[in-house]
Amino acid sequence: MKTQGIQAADATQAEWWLGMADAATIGAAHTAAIVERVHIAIADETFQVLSAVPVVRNVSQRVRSAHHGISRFCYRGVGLASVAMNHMIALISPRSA
Amino acid sequence: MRSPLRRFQHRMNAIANGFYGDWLAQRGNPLALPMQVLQDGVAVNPESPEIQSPQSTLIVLIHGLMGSETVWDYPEHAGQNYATDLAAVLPATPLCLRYNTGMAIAHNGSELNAVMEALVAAWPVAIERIVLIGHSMGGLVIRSACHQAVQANQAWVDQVRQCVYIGTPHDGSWLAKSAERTARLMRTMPRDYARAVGGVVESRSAGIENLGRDCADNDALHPFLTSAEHFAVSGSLAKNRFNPARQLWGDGLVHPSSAHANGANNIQWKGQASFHGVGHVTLAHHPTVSRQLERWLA
Repeated sequence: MKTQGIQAADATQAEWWLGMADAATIGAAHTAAIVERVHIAIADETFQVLSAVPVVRNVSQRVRSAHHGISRFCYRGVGLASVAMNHMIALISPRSA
Repeated sequence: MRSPLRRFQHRMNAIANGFYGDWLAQRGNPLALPMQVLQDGVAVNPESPEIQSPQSTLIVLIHGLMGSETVWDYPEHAGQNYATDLAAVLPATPLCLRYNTGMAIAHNGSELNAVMEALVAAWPVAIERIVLIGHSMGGLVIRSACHQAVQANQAWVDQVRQCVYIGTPHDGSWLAKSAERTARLMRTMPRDYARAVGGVVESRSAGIENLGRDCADNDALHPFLTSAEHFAVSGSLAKNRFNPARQLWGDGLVHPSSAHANGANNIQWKGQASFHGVGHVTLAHHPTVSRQLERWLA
């Protein structure tokens, strides 16, 4: 009887942490997408100013492409890793069995 | 006595449910809380309640947004709350409700209606009196449950004699309204980063959305139960009633005019009380409020 009680308590603990991990990984994926959007929108403010200056226009456009590409790669990498972790959590979750 | 880890998990659960409870429930996430009736912190099966010395009077405490049954406990006195104080005088059986505060108020009202119907039907002795005490959103859940019970001709609602609304935003919460207005404004801004932040503010639970509406345009707000007596309690951060902070922020989350339902013209209060210098959360476990409840209900 006592052992059953301990097992039940452990299962609840495991479920709680799995639930928290599920919410955290989905939250991380969403946050990465939002931060990417905010980051690129703010960076565009500066690049738009630079594109109005004839001397630096060409260089700034190349820098802008590189900046946006690297940023998107990083944020989407974080997002994909979070989604992958979420799938792993779903696989070990008792509810998926 | 709960361990610090359990207390942390309990609090995190309540907060997570308040912010994203509807989303958690939709995902089948184990953090989503089911509605439960508790006695002394132990869940009671409404269909076969095993209660120590059941009484014919029930006092049910219903917490508010991001809260849990522990919000009612007096500081340093776990398990002691308004219901246990009243039960010592009446006598009555004190119960607490725990539920997912991120769900729409009408959803929680529907669940409470079903739980109360089952509980009253299976109660070991005949119920003669039910007292419902709601803090913050809990008061709106009471209104919704009673309204739905009347609509469905449920028997339990006939025994509801008194409803007490403690810091309940009958006309919405200024904070939830401000969040809604801010989100709406940011979504219309020309800059994408402002729209993205507006989207974050907007991504809140159905329960919070319900608190951001005036009574005039709130589908979740149901009429008061006509057969019961109603009591309103409000608080304010400022001790002086003429302090502008009271007019601006009320108890921190709910303005006194909203707690006393000044926007609703179909309510006649049996009793009203305001406590200056008592904040929104403290209203749920303040000795002065307890004495007021005893004067009204005992």
